[in-house]
Amino acid sequence: MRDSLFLAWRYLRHHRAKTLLLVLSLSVFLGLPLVMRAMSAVIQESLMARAESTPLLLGKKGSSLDLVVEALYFQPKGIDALTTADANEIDDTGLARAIPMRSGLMAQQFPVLGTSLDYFSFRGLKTAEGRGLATLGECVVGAEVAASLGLKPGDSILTSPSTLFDLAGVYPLRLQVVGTLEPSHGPDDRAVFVDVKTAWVAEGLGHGHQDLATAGNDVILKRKDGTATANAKLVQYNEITDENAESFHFHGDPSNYPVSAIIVVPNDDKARVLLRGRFVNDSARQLLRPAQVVQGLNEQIFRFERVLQLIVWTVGLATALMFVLVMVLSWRLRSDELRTMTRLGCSRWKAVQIMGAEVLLMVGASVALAAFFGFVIAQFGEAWLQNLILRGS
Amino acid sequence: MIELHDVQFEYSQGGFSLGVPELRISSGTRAAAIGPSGSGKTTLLNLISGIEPPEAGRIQTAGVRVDALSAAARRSFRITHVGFVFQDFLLLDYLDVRQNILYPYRLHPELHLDADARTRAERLAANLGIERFLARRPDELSQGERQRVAIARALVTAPKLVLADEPTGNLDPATKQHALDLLFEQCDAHSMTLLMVTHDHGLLDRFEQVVDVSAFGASRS
Amino acid sequence: MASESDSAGLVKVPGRRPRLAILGCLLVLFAFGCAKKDGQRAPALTDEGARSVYTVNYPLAYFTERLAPEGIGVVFPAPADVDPAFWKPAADVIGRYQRADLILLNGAGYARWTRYATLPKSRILVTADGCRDPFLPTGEGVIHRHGPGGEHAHEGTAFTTWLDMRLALCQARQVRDGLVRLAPSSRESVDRKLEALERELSDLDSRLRATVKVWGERPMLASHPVYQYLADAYGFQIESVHFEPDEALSPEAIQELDALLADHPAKLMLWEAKPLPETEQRLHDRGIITVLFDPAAQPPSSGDFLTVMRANVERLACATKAKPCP
Repeated sequence: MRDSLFLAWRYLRHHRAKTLLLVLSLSVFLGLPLVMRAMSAVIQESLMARAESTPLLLGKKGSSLDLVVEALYFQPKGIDALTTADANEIDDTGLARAIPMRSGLMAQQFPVLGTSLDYFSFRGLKTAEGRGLATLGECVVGAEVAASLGLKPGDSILTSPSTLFDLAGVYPLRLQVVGTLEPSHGPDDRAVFVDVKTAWVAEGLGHGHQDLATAGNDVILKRKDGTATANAKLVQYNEITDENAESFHFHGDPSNYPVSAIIVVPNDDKARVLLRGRFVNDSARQLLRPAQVVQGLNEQIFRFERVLQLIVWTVGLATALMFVLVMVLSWRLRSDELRTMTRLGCSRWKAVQIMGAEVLLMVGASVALAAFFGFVIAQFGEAWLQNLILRGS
Repeated sequence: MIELHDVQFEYSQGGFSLGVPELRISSGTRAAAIGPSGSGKTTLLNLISGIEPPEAGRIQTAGVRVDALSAAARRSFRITHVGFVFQDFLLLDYLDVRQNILYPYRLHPELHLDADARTRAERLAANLGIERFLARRPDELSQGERQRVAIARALVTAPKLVLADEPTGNLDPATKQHALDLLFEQCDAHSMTLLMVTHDHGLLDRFEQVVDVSAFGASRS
Repeated sequence: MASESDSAGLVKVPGRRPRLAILGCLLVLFAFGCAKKDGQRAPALTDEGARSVYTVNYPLAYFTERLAPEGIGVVFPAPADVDPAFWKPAADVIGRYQRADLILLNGAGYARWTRYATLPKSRILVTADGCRDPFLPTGEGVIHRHGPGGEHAHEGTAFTTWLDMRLALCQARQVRDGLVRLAPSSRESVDRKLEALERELSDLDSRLRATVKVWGERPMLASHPVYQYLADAYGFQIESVHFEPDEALSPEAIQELDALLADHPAKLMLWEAKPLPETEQRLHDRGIITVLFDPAAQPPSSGDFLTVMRANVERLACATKAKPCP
């Protein structure tokens, strides 16, 4: 058998291109079901785990899937916003705790989530380095963000500008990294966390600037009847520091400030039922169970998977037949070699062994490659698969 | 070394039959087989080596009744007693020269690819002047060099009988002579019997015995 | 005001009795059927028991200490030499606030740092919320506009709400609500303690009303704009300047004073701390009596919130002749 494998290996190595093509074709055929299984596992285990750990989610009426995807997995879906008043309403019921979330901002390729301190204890997020949020302008980054950007406490990161060429647009806010989180093996690893007020500042809903009462006349356009109008020289801060933090302020009623979604943590099952009852006829808002929504997604994907499996097996059968055809044609072209082997005293069984060894090596390589891809996807592709599923949802 | 007596052979699919009433070639003889195309020269080699069994008659090669052997026994006999040199060399491009020479050892469990075999291969390569090509592949060599590799492959198992089917047919005259010189030299050195099919009558005076296959009974239908 | 801070910035009240003496005192008090007497027990501001309540000023810390049941520690970590309203705690101190079981804010914009700090909303209680709406403005700040938005003013809100004794009482009741939520089983004892505190604050309220009855609408001055709620609640006509008690009056300050006196001929000036003798003399030369009225935002060097307020009210009553001076 060793000689057969040796000859087979030498032949396959010599005909690299053909071998590679056949191995890749087979590994795709073998690997696709593995990938599909991995995708199902990702949905069932990690997406569902995330959804199940979130008892209730309040959002504006609309696509429940979009709400869940944006609020739990931080994929921007452009959902309509609630306000702080909605969060206060939940708190005032005494039935649950409201955890507001403001999403939509980015810092490089990572989503920025404005939220409250309760989010961290709710999700069980622990600090790896540094500390948690204390003041406006600070951020805590997930493990993957820290690793990817090489961030540690003391560093800073800029939010991405909302518009590059709009002079009236919101400019980047420099966030101070005060802590990095331990890996949680979920979407939180890929997020930058700020206080919800910081998110509002980054969106342009709050700002800080020079004190006009003490600013020089070069920043004043005109003063009249106790009113000062500032000119464009007025310095508006794009970073919140100990020195200028007190200058940051918000205008208008804070209860009208936007909140993308609210995680609602009921005190008990009775409270959960009561709360759901309160919102069942609400025409502007929806209070849903994320697990139910993800289960729906799961069922869709399962149905899709069944169809996909049928296609995969059909394609696989065709691939297998093509493989056999290629091998048969290959050995026909090698008839001289077969005759030589026979003349040199090689038995038919040995000849079959040598041919079989080639097939065995290629199939083995395909299986190994498919298993390797399956392993890589299972180990490292969870985030990629989640994004793939959620972006397409 | 080679004895055929009242041998009859016909291909199972029909079309060609050969009858050899009597043939003797002594051990260590340098013999040539001649005859027009289709006269059965290759068939004769196949019968002597046991590739094809006769319908009738007696074939004794290197002291073994080849006609009486089973297919497996004939294969075994072939791999241990007979060396082949083919017209088209039939070297394998995916093996280097060293592995091509050692190829017979890969094909039969009776042969052991041990240190002795490797040493024999290297010595043959040196004797044939191809030792510097051992790591190269056949498609990197000239016709003459490939022919020498084929000769080395035929001799590496130290066979008692070497059957060469027009081994120089594709070579130019100078290379042909050189190849023959080497083949004869190696066969003589190891006391091997050589039976070579050739169309080149100019070479016949180098052989001790000439077998005219057309004199045997061959027919086509 | 002198008080001792430990390395963590917590304020220790000096003169704390040994435990046996406290126990003995309590037994005596219990024997006579009394709750805590005024001034005999200073708030244990260093106590951080199994659960903790953090406050942003001393009055709230005092109320909490008066009402809190056993097992709840009260912490007011601002350093003694800093005005708590403008204090900027370090991140680690904010972290301690975050871990508190209850965070008592004053409201009315008090403690600017709470505007930009990250605090757990579920554990915050803004004690003045619901006690008054709207809060009083300071009357300072520049109305301005910048960018596409309209005019707006970063005008201040007056925040010394506890100088209105009825507001202080409302805040104390909010503190009570917070403590009961934290320790529901201690509701009765907290309510009993609240009753005693209510009587004391109501007494102060009555005495202030009696004072203003005598003083009427005669003008007063104040060294800083910190008496808005006192003025509004009791009808004192107070105009404020920005004079530091430990700084001599500059010529500009005197000019400002004289200009103010032309329209507001006050004969009495409230100071949050005793001014320099020469300042007192200059005011005396203008017929102005200086009256120390300590807002008690920080713990006093001796006594407690109520002793300070009683002393304030006594001094004011004496200066306004609403009561004979001792």
